[in-house]
Amino acid sequence: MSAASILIVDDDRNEVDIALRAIGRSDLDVKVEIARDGVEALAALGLESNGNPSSRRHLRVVFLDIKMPRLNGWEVLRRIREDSRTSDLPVVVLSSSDRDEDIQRSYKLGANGFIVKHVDPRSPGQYLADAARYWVELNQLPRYHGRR
Amino acid sequence: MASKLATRRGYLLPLAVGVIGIALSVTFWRHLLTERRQQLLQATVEAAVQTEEVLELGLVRQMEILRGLRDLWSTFDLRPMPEWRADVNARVDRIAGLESLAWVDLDEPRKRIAAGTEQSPEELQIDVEEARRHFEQPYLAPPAPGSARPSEYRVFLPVRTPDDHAGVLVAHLDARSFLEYSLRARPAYYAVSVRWDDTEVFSRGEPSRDPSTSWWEVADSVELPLSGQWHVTHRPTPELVALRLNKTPHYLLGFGIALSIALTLAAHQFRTISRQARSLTATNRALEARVAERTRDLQTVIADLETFNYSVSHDLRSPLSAILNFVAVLREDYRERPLDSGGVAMLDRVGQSARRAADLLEDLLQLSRAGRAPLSPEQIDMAAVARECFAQVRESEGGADVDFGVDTLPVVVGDRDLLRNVFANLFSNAIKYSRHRDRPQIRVTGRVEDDECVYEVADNGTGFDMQFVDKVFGLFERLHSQEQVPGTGIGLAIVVRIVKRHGGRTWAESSPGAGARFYFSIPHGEAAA
Repeated sequence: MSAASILIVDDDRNEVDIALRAIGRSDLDVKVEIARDGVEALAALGLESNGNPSSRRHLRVVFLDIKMPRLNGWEVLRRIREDSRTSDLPVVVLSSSDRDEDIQRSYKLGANGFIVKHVDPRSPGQYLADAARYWVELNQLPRYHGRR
Repeated sequence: MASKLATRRGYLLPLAVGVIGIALSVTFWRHLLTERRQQLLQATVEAAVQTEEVLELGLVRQMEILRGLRDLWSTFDLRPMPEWRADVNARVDRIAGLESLAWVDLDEPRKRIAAGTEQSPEELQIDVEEARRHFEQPYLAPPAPGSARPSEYRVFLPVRTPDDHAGVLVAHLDARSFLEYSLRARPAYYAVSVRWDDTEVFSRGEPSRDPSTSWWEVADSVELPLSGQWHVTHRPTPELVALRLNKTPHYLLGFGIALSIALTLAAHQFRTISRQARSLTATNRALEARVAERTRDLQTVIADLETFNYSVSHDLRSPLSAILNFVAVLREDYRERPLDSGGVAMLDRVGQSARRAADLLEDLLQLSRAGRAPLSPEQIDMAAVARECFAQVRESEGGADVDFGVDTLPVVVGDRDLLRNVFANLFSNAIKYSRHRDRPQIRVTGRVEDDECVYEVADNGTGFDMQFVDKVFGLFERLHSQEQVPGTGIGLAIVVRIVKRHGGRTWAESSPGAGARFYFSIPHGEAAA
């Protein structure tokens, strides 16, 4: 069985690096894929207009930033939910916004979670590692998941 | 002009109401006056006719009684008898206007009998010779001209008994007392005057002196039994005129005119009030519309401000988070060992982030200035400004290898500092996106179109997909990540704002990999405030 993987979609390189460091320092056995904007995210998911999605059954969760160049997070989320192959893929929105309207909109579009980016000087990026652990180790997906 | 016309038209209805009202009042008044005069005249004519009948009837009766007395005398064979005399006396009282009766026996002229009078037969002034003259025919002797009693007249009635005894009945009559008696029951509303030939024998009542009625008179003649006639004149008295021609029509006329004026004022007032109400309603509606419009504008502004604040805090939070995070990592990882290349890289990240935060603040300041700073318009040689500006940008953005060219550009009136800022942002943008080219090119061209000068900044850089063209100019919108192309997402928003303040437009054309062409236009002449 190949290792579980997660997809982090964020245009902020610093944010991604901190997250990678936090996950690397944990004992989590997970492969982290990176997309730097919405278009890259769709490509990683095989959802671009002429794409041919490869098997994503090892993908456990997508951490999705909202504010990105070209295609924003909500647009990506909408496309993920529209496609039957990814419609039940867990997506957690990752944003520096804590506006209620942003949170509501995310859930309405089908997000499975909403995490507000924050800085913890004692253990930077730890919150993301914790969230990843939940989706990789604790969360149980339906069996058919990944057999698309 | 239109409102003045409307005001003038506004007076028409009240004026029409007034004129029609007064015209109706006057017409009614004149009709009423004519009718009442005709009624009065009619009544006078009727009264005259009735008077004529009364007088003729009285005269006929008078004559019949006299004839009766004569016949009675004849049956008594002209002999005076005391009982006959008493009988005559009783009858005499019933003859209106009779002063005295005398019988003259023509066979014995000295023998006269008087009746109906206190006077003795001898005292009666009876001209026997005259009586004898009228022995053949009954005769009415009119008053003698110049007589002391101008209304006294006499009637001679001859009589002849079967045994050829002849006499004359002489009746002394007074027209005045006859008329007084006959007309005693006639209404006193008419001034009646009776003339016998040219002499007035009777008059009763004062005729009206009112100039409008004093000329009215109804003249009639009454035939006397034997000969001659009376001229009877009727005239209305002031009492009758006052009664029949009272002031009512005038009051009605006054009332009508007053009513018309009142209606005119009311109509005018009504129009004024309704017009005021209409204009008030219109004003209210306009005000409401304006309030709604302003509210919408304000809501838009508030929404924009919220978006702006959110974007600013978001974009500023990213570099600050990075600084805090990397400082924390540095502290943790290098607490007990010296800084190696990894640590230095992290320090660089901290520096870059701080620089980005500073850039963002600087750009925000510029954006704010672009919207607020007062314009100081002047003639601007755009080509010179572009060249000068590019030299600065080349230095700060590191575009030493860029092939830069400026065509002849139309001169325009605008704010020099702000327009320089437009070029600076466009050049900076062009350098960033064409940096990876072997020979980066930037061309500035310009042309004069209908009512505006259009400037174009073209590069041979990355370009973009036209589906993202709206995001290109949006505040804090970026098409690339920081690593690909650094930037704040404010520069082109500043361009849009400055051009808009000059009354112009901003647009762009591109396709991926084929470079980008940014355009902006400035209207001829004065810069818009």
